[in-house]
Amino acid sequence: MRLLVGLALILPLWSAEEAKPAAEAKETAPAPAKSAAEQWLTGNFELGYRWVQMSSGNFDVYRSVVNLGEGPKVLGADFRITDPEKRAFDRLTFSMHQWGGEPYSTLRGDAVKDGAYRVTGEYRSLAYFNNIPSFANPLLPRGVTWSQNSYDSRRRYSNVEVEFFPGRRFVPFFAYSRDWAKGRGVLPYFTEGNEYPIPVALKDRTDEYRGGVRIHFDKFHLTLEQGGIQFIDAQEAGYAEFNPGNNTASLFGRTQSLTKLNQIYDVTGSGVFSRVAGTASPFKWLNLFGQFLYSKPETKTGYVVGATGVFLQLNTLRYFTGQQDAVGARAKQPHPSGNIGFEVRPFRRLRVVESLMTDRLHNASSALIAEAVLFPGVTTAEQQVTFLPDRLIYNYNRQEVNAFFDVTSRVMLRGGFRYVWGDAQYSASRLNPFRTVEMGEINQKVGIAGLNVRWNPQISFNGEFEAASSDRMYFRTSLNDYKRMRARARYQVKPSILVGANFSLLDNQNPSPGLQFDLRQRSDSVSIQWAPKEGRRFSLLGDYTRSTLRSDLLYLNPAFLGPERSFYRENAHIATAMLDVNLFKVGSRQARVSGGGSLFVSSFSRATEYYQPVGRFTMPVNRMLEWFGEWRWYCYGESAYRYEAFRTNHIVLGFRFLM
Amino acid sequence: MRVASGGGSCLTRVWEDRLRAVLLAAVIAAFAGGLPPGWAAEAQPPAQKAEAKAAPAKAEYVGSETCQTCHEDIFNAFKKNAHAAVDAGKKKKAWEGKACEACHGPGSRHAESTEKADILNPAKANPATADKNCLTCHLNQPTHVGRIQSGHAHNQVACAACHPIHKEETAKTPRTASINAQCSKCHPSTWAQFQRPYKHKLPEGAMSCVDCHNPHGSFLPRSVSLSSGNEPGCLKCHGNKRGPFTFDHVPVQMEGCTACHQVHGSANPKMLTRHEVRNLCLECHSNLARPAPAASNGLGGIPPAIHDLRSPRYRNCTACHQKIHGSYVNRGLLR
Repeated sequence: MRLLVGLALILPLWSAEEAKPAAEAKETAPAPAKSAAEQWLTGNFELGYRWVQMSSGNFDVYRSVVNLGEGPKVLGADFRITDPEKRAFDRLTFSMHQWGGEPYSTLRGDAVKDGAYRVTGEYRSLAYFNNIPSFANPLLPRGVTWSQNSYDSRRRYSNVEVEFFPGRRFVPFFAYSRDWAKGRGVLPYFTEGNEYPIPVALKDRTDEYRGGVRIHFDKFHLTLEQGGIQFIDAQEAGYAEFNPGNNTASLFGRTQSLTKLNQIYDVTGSGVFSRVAGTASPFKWLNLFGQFLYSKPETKTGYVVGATGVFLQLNTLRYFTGQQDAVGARAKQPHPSGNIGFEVRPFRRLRVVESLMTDRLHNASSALIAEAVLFPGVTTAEQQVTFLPDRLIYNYNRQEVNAFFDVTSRVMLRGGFRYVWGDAQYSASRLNPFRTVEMGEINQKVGIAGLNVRWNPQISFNGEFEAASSDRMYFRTSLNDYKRMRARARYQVKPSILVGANFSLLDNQNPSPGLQFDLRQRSDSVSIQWAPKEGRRFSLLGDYTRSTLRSDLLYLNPAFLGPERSFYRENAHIATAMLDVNLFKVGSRQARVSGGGSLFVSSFSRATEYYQPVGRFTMPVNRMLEWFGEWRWYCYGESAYRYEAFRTNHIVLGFRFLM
Repeated sequence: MRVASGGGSCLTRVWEDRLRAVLLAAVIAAFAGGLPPGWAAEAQPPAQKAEAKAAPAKAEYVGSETCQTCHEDIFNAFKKNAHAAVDAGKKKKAWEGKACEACHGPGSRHAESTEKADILNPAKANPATADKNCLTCHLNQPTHVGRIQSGHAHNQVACAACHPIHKEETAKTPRTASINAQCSKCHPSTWAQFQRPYKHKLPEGAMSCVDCHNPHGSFLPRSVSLSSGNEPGCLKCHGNKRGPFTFDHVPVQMEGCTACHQVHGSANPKMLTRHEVRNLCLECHSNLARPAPAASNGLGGIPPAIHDLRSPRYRNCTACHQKIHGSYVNRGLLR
């Protein structure tokens, strides 16, 4: 670290020294540089060191939101290799970002030999830490700042895809991907009268294999793909401490507690999937497209739990001291879906696009549950075996037609209609005394209109409007009678100045008695890009968004059945900006300073402030090396949960090697 | 009187019929691009248009090297673009050495006059015209299965709005950052959502927009990409939410992640749509179970329960219903 600091202090002097000869060289004769065509390797490599100073606040929340750590880092590397002799490959690109204990590390490579193959590989490693004291924490009023639904895990994702003969008529392809996560968490162990937060170990993994062929001809294309998945999802807990749980109230002079727990959750699964997709243009005035997709995942579950302590059986109001459950379960979910459509152009100015889509899902599952409860003073446990079948059947269909009419070369009008219908049924809650199956339907009609104006290459506008009327929908919070509007305008004031404005609005109403759902979501944005003289001196990017959300609906208090209102409101101001100023040149490299960042300020339901100002400089040392530094401040605060605030300073110093 | 009257009516009817025929012909002609001339010209295919403009002396193909004379910077960058394969004759022999004119039309008149008006510039043409150029070669490709019904196609977003046709492909900008910058130019309000504290890590460069969306269109609304056949693309990274669960939480299957999560970013922990979990749950689980609930009250009916919301235990639903995405062993999603 000392070495880095020393170098950081010395390098500006060196760069200043370097600047003089460069300036002199400019006056005399520029050094012959390699032409772009001759360069077989281009790219850069960034190494740096980050200091994190936590000035105040909650470290768990900091890790849940930002999670950047201190130490030496490989901040980035991007290379492109072009083999002039085109032996094993024509082009090879490689990039890696944020390595060295960073929360979001990525790696990507791509090798191409034209007409022969293309290989793409990707790897990501993402840290997932989530412990927000105010979330799922019944003990918060007692001062315990520890979420009972928290995680500290790392998720990794890798993918490799090989394509043979890219650009040819027949392109076979194969791909393999793996998504896996491992870590720890805190989750409650549930009993009828209490919940006991305990540490658990979590692990899941999904392997996916797929392969197929893409067939290209001038008039049509067809993709045939077949694949399979294998996955596991495991959770384990071994716990041997006294745990009073969330419910510390005593009943009949006793309180409940957990003293020992062993829990194993083991899920394995597999599935196959198929995909057939095609496009065709049999005539100049007709394009056809369609795809059929099918998947059939299935799972097998084994679950065993053994717990000792003092537990309450609610239906008999008796205390028991031990519980053992074993569950074996299976689920199968065939899921076919498809869509088909066409675009027809009967006249030069008119296009009509029609599409029909269907999505059908049927999950059939069952569980055999064996429960044994041990009461004090009794040697044999009370046992109960239950067989629970379950079912979800879901059909969703959508038909849409749109007509596009070019009024002039500058103005296009769009009109359309969408019809959505479907039905669903699944097993009702076991506490529902009236029905074993719940059924629902959706029936929605949507009118669509659009306008697209491109007055000249500098000015453009497009707007969309949808108005829907539903007489049935699946959920209380689903969109019912709604209006959605979007508008976007762009104006290139000068070649160096581009301004834009966006507007969107969603207004949903469901006046049904007992619901009276009123949702209004609006967002207005303005943005500017200003780069005079192609950004030779400075450039500015900025945007500002004002967003508002208001949701208001009635629900029933589950204990007293009285109507209550769920009201959510958010008024937010969001801005991002970045000003880049070019200072001077060292050789062909530019010294730069940048400043900007982002802010998010919201009020009402969860009033939050989140500021991320940033300042950066880049100082070329010579043709191959740059010195850079960055300062970033993360400031987060909430007015309802003040203990969740944090403030941190981050300073990064490093070098960028250029090729 | 009646005859005269009838005669007058007949005459009027004849003129009405003629007028109707003329109007009908005018409407048909207008639709067919016959009227007015300025309108029809705009709808012509690009290559024809360039040729039509060059009517006095028919423009001819002059080859990319002629273009290089004045546009050397573009020519050099183009050589490092994927479209250079067209110039090398790897795609269609007919375009070998004429890649520039494959999109810009024959260039002899422009080469002589150097006038902008003498050459087609797809970047300045209307998107439908410009896209015709691109789709001549790229129409029947796998990425375009959903193109026709995508939001981009509906809003006339031209291919060149996202894809650099001439630019050199370099490794100077990280891929995720350049994709995100590209998308946020037109979607600043969406990008603004990523400035909230709980979000997918796009500004940090861990992900890009195309990890979740297929900009060319998809089977799902909002161009959300798919994984493992027809599963939502979210499951590509969140494999432990895949199931099939023995006991489903049905909105997960029927409405997807967005039923409860603001997937771009939120001020609420876990990117939830509400500041408190109980509000999120009770907004759906509130209608009384009864033999025939009102159709508009939707699914998710539960009967009165022991949940006394005055107790913090019942205000944090996921403290008990921890397997909220679906459970393999418990119908109440408790384990």
